[in-house]
Amino acid sequence: MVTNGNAGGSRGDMKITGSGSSNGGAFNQVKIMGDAVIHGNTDCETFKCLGNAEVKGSLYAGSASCNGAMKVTDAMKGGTVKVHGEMRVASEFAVGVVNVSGELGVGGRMSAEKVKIMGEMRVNADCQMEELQVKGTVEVNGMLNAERVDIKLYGPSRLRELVGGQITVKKSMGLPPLLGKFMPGSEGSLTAESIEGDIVVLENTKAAVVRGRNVTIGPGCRIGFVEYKDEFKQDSGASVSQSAKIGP
Amino acid sequence: MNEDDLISKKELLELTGISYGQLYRWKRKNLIPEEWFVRKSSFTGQETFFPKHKILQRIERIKNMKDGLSLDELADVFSPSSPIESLSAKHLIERNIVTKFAVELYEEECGSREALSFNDMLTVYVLQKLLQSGEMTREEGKMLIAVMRDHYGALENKAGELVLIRKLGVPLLFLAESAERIYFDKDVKRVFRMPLAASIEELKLKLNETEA
Repeated sequence: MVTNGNAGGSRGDMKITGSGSSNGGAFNQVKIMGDAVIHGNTDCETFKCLGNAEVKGSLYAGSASCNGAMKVTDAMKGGTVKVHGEMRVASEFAVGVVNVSGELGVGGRMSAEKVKIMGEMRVNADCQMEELQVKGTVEVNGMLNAERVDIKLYGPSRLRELVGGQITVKKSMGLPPLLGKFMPGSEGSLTAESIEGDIVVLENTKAAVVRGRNVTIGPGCRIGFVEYKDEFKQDSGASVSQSAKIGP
Repeated sequence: MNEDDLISKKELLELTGISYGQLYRWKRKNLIPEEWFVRKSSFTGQETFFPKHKILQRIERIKNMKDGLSLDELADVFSPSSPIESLSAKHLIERNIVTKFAVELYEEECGSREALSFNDMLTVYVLQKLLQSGEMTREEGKMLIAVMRDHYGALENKAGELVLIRKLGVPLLFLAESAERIYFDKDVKRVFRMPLAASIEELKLKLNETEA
């Protein structure tokens, strides 16, 4: 079954049930139940996928939801994105609200307003958002810049730079989640080169440098150097090689 | 002014009194361009530095304007690309953005036009500024118009810089996309170096003001 969009004209719907393909184009609604490959750039108001979808090209979706696995081989832009399962975007990912339970992989830069992840987030370049909430693991090959960052660690996380307003990193408690490569007994950890924010609260974090106005270094941390302006608290279960107060 | 001067992030925050949160918020909103974050290695690992003159000026401007404008509006002001549509020359004069004199000189060179694009407006605006300050003669103004018309488009929304030199009374005007420092022989008199970014900001503010 092949469905093609009518670019420039009135927008129809694309509906693929079972197994099918399309050449992309402009649609009102795209609905995939089963397995579909879209060969070409696609622009739609809503994108729904139950099963497996691959867009060979770029995707713009006013809102996108996926239960299953979804892959975009170029950039993806749009409004809200909701994923249960797996989502991969090969280059830039620029959207509004993101909600993922499962796995999110971005090959390029990522920018969003509000992001909530249960599971795994991997971004291969810089990443920015107003609000980030993660329960699981984060891997960013660049700078993660967000106004509010809230990470609950389940498994190993890695970042180059973590910066923003309020940064909270906590170890997990209780039962391990079902997702991710989980090692029993591990509480999760974060490794970063530098962390900078106004209010920084860390647990189980390994970082060379932490800078902030109020810095709290909790249990399980190994920090090379802490620079703070107003307040610095260190848990007895943390190691900080050096700390300095700056300013008046 | 040494344009190579860099300032470390720590010094910058101390000097301006802004916080990490603010700095990174402004970066997210593109008020501070990514290129200004210069990474260099130091004894603590990587450190970030900024071009001192540019960043201090920019932060001052953001601090002054942020009460009146939203961060997104501010981002438009600082962006070298322009969302502003074209305007007629008559309109620009009525709104006191440019003088009739500058427009006339421009039209003498380019012919009279219905509407001026943002780049044309910028040319007229810069022309007027330089003529008024007395740094440039009418003849040099014509050179400016030609340079901007022929080459500014190629900069593709990068700001660039205008430079005027005179040697033995012969003026030479050029548009530089990027030049940290330029050295001339001793007979050359450097009349001005004008970064276009500041004029772009001013012009956008004026266009916004009179619209509101």
